Amino acid sequence: MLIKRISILLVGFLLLSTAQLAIAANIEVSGFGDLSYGYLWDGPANEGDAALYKSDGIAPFPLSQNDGFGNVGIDFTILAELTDRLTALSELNIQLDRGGTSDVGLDLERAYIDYRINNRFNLQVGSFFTPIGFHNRTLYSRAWLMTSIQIPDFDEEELGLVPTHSTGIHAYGNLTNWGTHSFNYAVSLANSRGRDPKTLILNRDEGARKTVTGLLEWVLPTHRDFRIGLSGWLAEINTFKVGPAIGDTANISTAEPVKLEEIGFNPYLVLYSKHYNLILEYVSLRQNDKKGNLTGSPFEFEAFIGEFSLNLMDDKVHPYVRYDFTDLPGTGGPYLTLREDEDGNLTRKYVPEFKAVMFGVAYDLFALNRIKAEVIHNFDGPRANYGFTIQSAYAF
Amino acid sequence: MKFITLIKCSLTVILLGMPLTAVAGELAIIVNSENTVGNLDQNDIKKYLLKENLSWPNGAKVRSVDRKGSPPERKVFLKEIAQMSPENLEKYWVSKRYEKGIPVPPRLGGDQQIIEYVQSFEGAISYVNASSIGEAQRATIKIVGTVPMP
Repeated sequence: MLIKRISILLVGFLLLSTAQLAIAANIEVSGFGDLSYGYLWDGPANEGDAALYKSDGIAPFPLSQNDGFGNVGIDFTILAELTDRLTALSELNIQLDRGGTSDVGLDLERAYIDYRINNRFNLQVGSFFTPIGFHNRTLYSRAWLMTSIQIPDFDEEELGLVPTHSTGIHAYGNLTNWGTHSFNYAVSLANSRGRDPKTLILNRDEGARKTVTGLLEWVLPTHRDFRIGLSGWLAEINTFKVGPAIGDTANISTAEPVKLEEIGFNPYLVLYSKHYNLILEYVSLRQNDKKGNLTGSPFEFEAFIGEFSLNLMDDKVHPYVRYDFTDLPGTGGPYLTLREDEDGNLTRKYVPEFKAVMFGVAYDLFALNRIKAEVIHNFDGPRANYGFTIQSAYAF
Repeated sequence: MKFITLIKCSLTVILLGMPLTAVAGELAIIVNSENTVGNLDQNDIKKYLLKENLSWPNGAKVRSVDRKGSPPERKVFLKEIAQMSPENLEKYWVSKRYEKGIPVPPRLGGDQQIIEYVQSFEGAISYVNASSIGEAQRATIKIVGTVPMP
């Protein structure tokens, strides 16, 4: 704990020093933070799920359920223009455990170098948000960027339901040969997914088959921003067989190997207009057993997020409604509910599904400070039936 | 008749390729004179000033420059070109920087500072009051678009 705190202090010092240097060098330091207060009532939506979460959940508390005053931490992005065509970006998150009470962690969200060649073709090398979908690439849990409060489960890094982060190489560009319409594309080749879904392979994937992603986004020349995107990924997962019951465990030194082929599909529609906004995003994931030693293959997962908001009072007030769900296979399938400990034990934990509707309003007090109030109703699962949260989200 | 039509077409082609001249009471969109881009329509001006395009056709990096404060020139830029409020433009740049790693354009204090910046960098683009452009400066900058000012 002491070493962790010293590390965080050193990082803080480094960031402050960088901010000083930014005046002389072409470096920008920016970031996000948010503070919230939440109140829950009417007990868990499902008592049985709540009891199961207490005994075998992935964290002490359901992730991102706001209860009392909460601080998620501070996210710093450092952007350095090295030359006209070369940019380096790193994003460090000093974050508080979203399922805990006080653990502070240091998370490397991104660290890449970007080669700008022309509008049609550019390369990023390093660690980046996996270029799939809309939320994962543009809104990744930075509260100020979002209209609503609740962090979506489907691209929550702590759950790893989709590959949120990648280390590899990423090509992207804009194709504009269709009148006023244009298309953005992104393809990536990156390290494979870890033995459990939470583990990110940032270094040395030991020769496993790489994860490949593809994205094509149609940008329509109407409204402020109107995009329709199709994206997907192909991954091979090398893990181990763990018993089907929650709580079952197996050690990687003796367990039977499992090989899964994962195919993901992630379409979305985003519309920001003068008077309203609409975000629709869907994820479908299928895992096929390649070794033939699992029953129940293929294992399928689905998720959806739909948000509609208005822009009122000179674009300062944004009432909204949102509906999310995640639908896991069986007891989570052979992979999505596994968690590995330091001793190489893979345990099947309880990862609750998410199904909730949210109503709220966001108010842009200043350009870089957004105040939000949200009521959430969980239809099922270990979370409280109802919750109310107020949040102040800011950018700098 | 065919000959007259040919003359008319030729003149049109020549005129389209000629640098624009701007008159007082107009917002002039200016680039460095080394920039090989021709006259730009409003859509393209927006794409370059808001860094939706990061490179010029000749490969040079787009260096967009904005104004400090709320002078009339910036108000016209926000209303007619960016089509955003000042707050929304602030949000736009924060989102752009986060999503794509694109730095926020510098904001300079006045037309002369902007003209000097554009003169200095091949890929620079910005907007100034047309009446601020001196005769001597017209050799080192090029006007690629104009917007009427109220």
